[in-house]
Amino acid sequence: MQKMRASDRKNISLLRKEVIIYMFIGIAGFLIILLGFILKPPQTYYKLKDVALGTYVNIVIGSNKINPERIAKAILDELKRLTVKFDPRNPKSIIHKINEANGDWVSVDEETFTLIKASIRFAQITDGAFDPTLGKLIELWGFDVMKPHLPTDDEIKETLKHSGYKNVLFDDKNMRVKLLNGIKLDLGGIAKGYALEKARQIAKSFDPDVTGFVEAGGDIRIIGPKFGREPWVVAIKDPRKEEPTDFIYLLDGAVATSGDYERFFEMNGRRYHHILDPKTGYPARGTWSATVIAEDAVTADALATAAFVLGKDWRFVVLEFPKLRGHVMLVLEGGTIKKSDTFKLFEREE
Amino acid sequence: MKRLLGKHDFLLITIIFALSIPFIVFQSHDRKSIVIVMREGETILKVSSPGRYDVKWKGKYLMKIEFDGMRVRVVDSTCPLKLCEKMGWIRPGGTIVCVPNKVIVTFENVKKKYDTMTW
Amino acid sequence: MVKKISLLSSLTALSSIMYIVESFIPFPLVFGKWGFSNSVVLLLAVEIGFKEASLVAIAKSIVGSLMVGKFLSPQFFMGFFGALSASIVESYMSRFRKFGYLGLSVLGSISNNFTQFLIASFFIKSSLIFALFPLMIIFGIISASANAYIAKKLGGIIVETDLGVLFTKKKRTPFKTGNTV
Repeated sequence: MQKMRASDRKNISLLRKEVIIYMFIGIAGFLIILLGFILKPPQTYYKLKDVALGTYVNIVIGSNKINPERIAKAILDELKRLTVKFDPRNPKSIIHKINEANGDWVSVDEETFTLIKASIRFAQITDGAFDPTLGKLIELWGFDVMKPHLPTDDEIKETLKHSGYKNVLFDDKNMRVKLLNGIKLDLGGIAKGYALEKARQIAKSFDPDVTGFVEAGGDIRIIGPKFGREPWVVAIKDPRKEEPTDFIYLLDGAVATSGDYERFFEMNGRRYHHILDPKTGYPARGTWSATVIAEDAVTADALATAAFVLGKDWRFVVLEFPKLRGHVMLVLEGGTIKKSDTFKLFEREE
Repeated sequence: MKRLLGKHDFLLITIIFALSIPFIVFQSHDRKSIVIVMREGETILKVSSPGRYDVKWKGKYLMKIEFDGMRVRVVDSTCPLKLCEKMGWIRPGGTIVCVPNKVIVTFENVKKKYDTMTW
Repeated sequence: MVKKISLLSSLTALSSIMYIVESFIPFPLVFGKWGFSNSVVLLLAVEIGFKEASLVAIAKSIVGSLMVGKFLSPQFFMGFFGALSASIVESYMSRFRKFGYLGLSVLGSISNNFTQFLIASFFIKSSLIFALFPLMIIFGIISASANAYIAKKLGGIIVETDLGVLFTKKKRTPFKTGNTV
């Protein structure tokens, strides 16, 4: 083989240099393009805050197809409609009509029929811990008009007779309901959840890939994961302080909390709150707050109320509620926290 | 043809970097707290300096809020139950709602560690 | 003359195609593009002059935005005035012998970005967008480097053809004579 001439060697090394430079540029270019994909600008979320369902509502919507403002406004309209329809204090509401029917059969529409039926079903599976028929008791305590006072033992005993979920009769064929024994419905523990479910349905009807969440009075329904893939970070309020006590990460589903700090009054050093024990007619004792994560907002709402009522028996709650598809965290009186094993899964950031 | 790299090219780039980096780093300085009052999704009052302010809507007086520079509270309200007054002072991240007046008092653009809170 | 027209039209076509293709490569910031199509403008500004560079800048903005359907959109105006400003800066600064392609490209990129932000502020009535300016500059330097290299390479290819003769001695300010081709 001939010895390579100096000029050839120089050419080869120049060629090598060029190749290396080109490779460098190629890789750098590839990385820059990759960066462009990774650092994609975040989807901006449209946020709408207003008052509905007797409380503060916050609608957070993100959509790449439909203007999110449109979706949020449609949801708000629906929430306002349901506020009127299911508020027992509103004379226009169907609940008011049923409560004033004096034991007669009342014809209702499919939406109302389904909701009342669902509330009774939850009463059954929680063995009455959740009870949508405490209307008379709530009126007695004054929590309905927020002029609460302490009733006498006798008053409570007497009013208790006019409550109980077994007093609701259904006429499935004609879609009618009848209330026995002078009971009155109060769907407070479930109406918010229902409204949030409808909100999600509406959002999905505009755009199946819509993401975001809707919250009303502390109940939250996830519509879709943040930016399409991240969990929403939900703080759980400390029942005695204005700050979080825990954090959960939700890609979907719903969470609701029942607490003794929402509506209450204090007398003689004792707190009387609005979550009544259906068995005693008095505020349920032993729990400061109960938080339930479930697949849908109706379940979360109803089970949160039930978990609060049963909180004293936390071992039972923590074991049995996951079987009802409710993952529960209790803050017991005194501040001790008890969680179901399933609940702990939501505290992980993935 | 002109050369690819000239005399002052790298000097230029270095100067630009030196000037821009501080801007990027000091982007997130603490901004002043701003209180906003909303009704029906619209902001009807924005407050950035301490004091007492009337909240009016379409000429009608609804309530009075007080801002001390860091916290805000409702000091007078036309609603029957005065639940909003009973809330007391709230800090950035908190919200006061007056349902009868359909009013929400909160802080603008607060960076929080969480997206929302269940209570 | 014919050679000049054919050079400018092919370069306009090339630049327009680059404009279209780069709109598919995602850019990390809210608005703004990589701007590879400006490499052609850079080449002309440096090797021929302002008239030719600005002509192609205007033409590729119009043709490119027509092709992607964004003609007369905010993006179009941003790109149009941005590229034009870059051609002004690049052709002027290339007279001095201080900068190479890289430096001129960077200067053009700064001018481009600044003009784009100015135009954008007409459409987005928020002063908050200027917070992105420093970041945009940084990304601009990266794409400017690429543009400088592309322009030089492109120039090299042209010089090897018949059309290279158009890269003639430019009128320079009379403090130093420079060689060109």
